[in-house]
Amino acid sequence: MTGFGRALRAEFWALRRRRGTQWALFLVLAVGFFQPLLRALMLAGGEPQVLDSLATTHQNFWPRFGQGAGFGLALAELSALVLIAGAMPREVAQGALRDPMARRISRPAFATARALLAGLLPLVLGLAAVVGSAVGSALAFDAGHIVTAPVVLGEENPRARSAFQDWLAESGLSADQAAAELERDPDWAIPAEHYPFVPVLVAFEEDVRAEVLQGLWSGVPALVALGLVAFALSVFFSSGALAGGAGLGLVLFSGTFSDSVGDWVFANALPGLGSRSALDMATQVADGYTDIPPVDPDAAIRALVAASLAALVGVVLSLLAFRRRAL
Amino acid sequence: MVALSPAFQAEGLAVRLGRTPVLRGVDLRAPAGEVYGLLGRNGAGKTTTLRCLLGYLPHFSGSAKVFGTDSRRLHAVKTPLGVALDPPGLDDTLTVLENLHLARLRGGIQGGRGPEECLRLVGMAHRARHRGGRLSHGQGRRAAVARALLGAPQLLVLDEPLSGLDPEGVEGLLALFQRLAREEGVTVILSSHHLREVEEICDRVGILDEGRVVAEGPLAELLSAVGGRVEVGFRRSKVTLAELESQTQLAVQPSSDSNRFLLQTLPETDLVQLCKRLATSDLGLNLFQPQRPSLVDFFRQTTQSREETS
Repeated sequence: MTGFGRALRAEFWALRRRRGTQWALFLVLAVGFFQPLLRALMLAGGEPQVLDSLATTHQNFWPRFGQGAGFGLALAELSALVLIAGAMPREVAQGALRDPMARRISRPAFATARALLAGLLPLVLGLAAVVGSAVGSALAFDAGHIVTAPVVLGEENPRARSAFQDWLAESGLSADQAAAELERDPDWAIPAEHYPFVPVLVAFEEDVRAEVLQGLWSGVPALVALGLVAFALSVFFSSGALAGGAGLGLVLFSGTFSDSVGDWVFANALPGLGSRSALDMATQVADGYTDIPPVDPDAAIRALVAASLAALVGVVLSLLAFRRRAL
Repeated sequence: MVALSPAFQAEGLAVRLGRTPVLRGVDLRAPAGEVYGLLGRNGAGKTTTLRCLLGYLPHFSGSAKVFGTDSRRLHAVKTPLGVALDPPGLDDTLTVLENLHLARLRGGIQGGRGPEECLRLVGMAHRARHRGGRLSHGQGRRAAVARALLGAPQLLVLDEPLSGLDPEGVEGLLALFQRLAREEGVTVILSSHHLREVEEICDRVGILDEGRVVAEGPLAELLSAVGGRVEVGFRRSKVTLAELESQTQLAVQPSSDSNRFLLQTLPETDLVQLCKRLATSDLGLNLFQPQRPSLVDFFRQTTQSREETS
């Protein structure tokens, strides 16, 4: 096996066993899982369901999944940043990078292996956030078309409401499906007395699902870029605190330039912390807060280019700097 | 297997850390298959020399080679190496055993000594499941040496491997290094302040002082070039230093007993003649005990003479 192959295999082996990685994975998974459940508890106390089996905007799986994943991803991004940026200064101070260099592994091979894993770590943590949120949201919410509570003139009429429920049951429909049917076919045959109970459709489930998933996917390049930039910072700075601080500054303050060059700053496209997170926008649409198309194709391309450039610059600079780093 | 090139060779090695010159033209040569002791006081440049020779400090002038290969291309050296520098370089978040497994994966080591055997050799088997960050100073050193022993290294580079070790640990490690050198032909380069212990196992030493090599060569040759000491005692009371100096023409130090003295002999001193001269004098010689020159004497003389010169 080549030096690069051995370095990659060993670093991957170590990454899985390092306590920091294990803790980060656990915490991200827990946040992704519990955030939707906590939200469900809050909703249960404050927002009564208008109709049985009706998933209103905030009680739908998709916005809750998107929001839970966003929370988990924000923690994943912070964890990845701190773990990656702080690792190398600590290891250099401990002399822990001397052993690999004595094992027929060249500096570029080692740094490349590390960079690859630095790009992978945010993705793994992000995946944990997504899985945690998917499970937590599925336990607490039903998926379906996004609807708001109906403007009900006859809401106070329990008999009419009960009749609508019976009609839904006979038709094998849920309230949101009725709303979707009506949206697709305004001439759809529905007894007139039930109209006041049909909720207002905000978005079809398939559209929201596509937007939320697209929001997740569009964050992948930014996550990879985050890992690589954090790795570059870890090579440049001799102190882990400085490297981590510089990375946090980059991520947290990049939103300042959001209006002017926002798409060209990769950190703005981060799905968790980014000020232009496509996932966040898709979640807001699913929540009924906005009807702006979440992902502008041109902006997505600019974000992709920005992330790729940041990743490339991060890798090249870190490889060059690591060649001359005193160990 | 003994390679033809020297295991370790430095020529005109010079390093500055910031504006401070740390090495000022170091020339060293460690033939393969020998135990080489790199000695010097604190801050003499031992660790820096080892870091240069292993390519860990790329900013140096002069030449540093490991088995004939430029140390900056250490990865190209085919001969298996084992390195344990200061600090020990264990990953704090992994256990000792995991640290060794990691090193084995990095080196693609399949045969030779495994992690468990190496830990047993250095007396660390009972700490295998402890995390690197929870070891004492001495345990960290042992674990680092265990990692260096993985597989079948032909060159061991050990920086202060005896530091912080208990007496049994020092004895055990020295015996281990000696056995590896004698039975497996392993070249061992070790820096240490334990001069008496180093003297027991080293074939060759290099002494650094203020970034320069002040002495280098086979240990026996170096020691033969310095005089030893002779402890002498007299029946007659009130023998003075001046009287003894004039009789022997040697440097004299008082001993713990008022009638005993230490004569600092020169390499050319004929001990038989000296003994005869003192025995026939009116001092009443009743003790003449030559002491072999030790590495400690040599080290003191070498570094002190430099201090006096400067």
